[in-house]
Amino acid sequence: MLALLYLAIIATIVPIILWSFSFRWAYPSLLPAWSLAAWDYVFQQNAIIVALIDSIAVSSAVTLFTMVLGFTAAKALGTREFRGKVAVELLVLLPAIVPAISAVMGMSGIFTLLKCENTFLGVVLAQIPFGMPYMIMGLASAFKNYDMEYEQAASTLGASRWRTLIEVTVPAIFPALVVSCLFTFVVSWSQYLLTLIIGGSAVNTLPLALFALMGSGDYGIACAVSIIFILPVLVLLVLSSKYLTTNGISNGGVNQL
Amino acid sequence: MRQTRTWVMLLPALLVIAVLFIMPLSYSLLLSLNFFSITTHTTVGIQAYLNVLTSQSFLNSFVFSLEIASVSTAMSILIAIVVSMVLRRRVAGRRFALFAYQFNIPVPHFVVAFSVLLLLTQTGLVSRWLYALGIISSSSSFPMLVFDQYGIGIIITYVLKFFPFIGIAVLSLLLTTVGDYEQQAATLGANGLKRFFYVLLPMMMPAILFSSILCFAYAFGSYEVPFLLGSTYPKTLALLAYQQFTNINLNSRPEAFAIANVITLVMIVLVIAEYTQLTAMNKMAVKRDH
Repeated sequence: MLALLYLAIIATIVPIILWSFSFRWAYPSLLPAWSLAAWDYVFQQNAIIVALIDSIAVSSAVTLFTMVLGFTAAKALGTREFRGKVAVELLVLLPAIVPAISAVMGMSGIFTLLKCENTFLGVVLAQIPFGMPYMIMGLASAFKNYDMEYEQAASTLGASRWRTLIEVTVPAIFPALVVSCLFTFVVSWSQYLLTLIIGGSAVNTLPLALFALMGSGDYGIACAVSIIFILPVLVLLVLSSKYLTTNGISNGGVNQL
Repeated sequence: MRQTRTWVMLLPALLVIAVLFIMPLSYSLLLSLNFFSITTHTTVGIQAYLNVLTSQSFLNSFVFSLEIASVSTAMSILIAIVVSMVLRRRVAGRRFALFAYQFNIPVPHFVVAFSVLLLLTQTGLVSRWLYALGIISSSSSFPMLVFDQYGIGIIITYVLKFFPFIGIAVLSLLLTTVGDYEQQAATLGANGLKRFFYVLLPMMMPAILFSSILCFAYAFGSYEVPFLLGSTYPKTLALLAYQQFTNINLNSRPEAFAIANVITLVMIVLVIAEYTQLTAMNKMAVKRDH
């Protein structure tokens, strides 16, 4: 039974690894003509490295902005009851359900008017609403288990709001914060359509480069770039894996308080 | 310390969503109704929608998208439940299995799609193994799983990504809250199957519902995966909309927006339906706990 699980995971990644080490792999050979040509090409081509840096820059910016902009809303949704809460929850959820294609064409028109079409800023702005649901939902669920009394205690002891935020609130929800940022980063990292239409010629992220390569028929290089593409997010997953346990998410960092 | 007003706390996020998401959707609506039209002889009205809703290609695309989304979500739910039920016991190799379970989540959809492409096309890896084993005699004997009419390759891609996503939600529930209720049921004499259907499943339902709505919505409206693995006909709705959007004929523009807005409408209906269902389930849960 678990074997099927492993099979599914292996099926996802092994073909890509194998094919990246091939020069030509014609049917019906079971093994390719091994070669590092694809990897040579990748590391010598500036375009791929630049695309990697662009992707990191865009996704980091998106994650940062989404976190800063969504934090207070998540706290309000998790710790307070108010009229219209359901409407707010639905509104926040909307960008996770409505697909990119529905919004991007309208975005293109509006961004052209605002003159941020084809800019780095435009791409970042375009991706922020799509990361918001995951950031807010992730943080809000941690805030549900959060006791506002910690903050009241801190304020009684004389802590300023800023200090309370840094030394009480953030540590308490830290695991959820890490997981939400991870999710938002991954959502932004994999964006293709948005970057294609909004960024167009100016911003070239890895997905754009990858799609071009996948269509080119030269699978060796496409596979090598695919591995470069998924390595950063896998590294992030491993780094944050201790926060992904169910205990971590529901209890937060309260134990450390 | 005076507490911040709630609306102030909600403001940044709501503002962002309003300006960067709702406004584009509204703009899309206006453009589909032919406001701001460049060509002079079009009038404001629902002409684009009439054209779109009566066109055969739209209807085929709608059914195609619906089929892909439903099948992949349903299969993923089944697999997620089965795998999570297995993983919650302390079986050997469990830690590695848990890690493997989460492995697919950060891998982007179209990378998985690419992998499926490498494996399951008629000249793909699986076909070569079958050929080497003598099971098939040539590449064209291998069934057409990619670029086909049913979107099989697309469905497989989605299932590979969806079942860990739903499964993690189910597993975390199984490992934490559900255990007590299940034990109670066991002490009351319920056997395995009864415990599953009367205790476990109802308690898992909200989490399953929530995560599978996200999956269904993604499968329905995604562009990247069907672009890589789909055939030229039928296209999924997202592909159809994009095709109209980039059409040289500017008269297709309103139709592109119309298609996109139909997708939006379906999604909004889905969200509202899901929310009413979830609140109903919550009410039942509250009743049950008393």
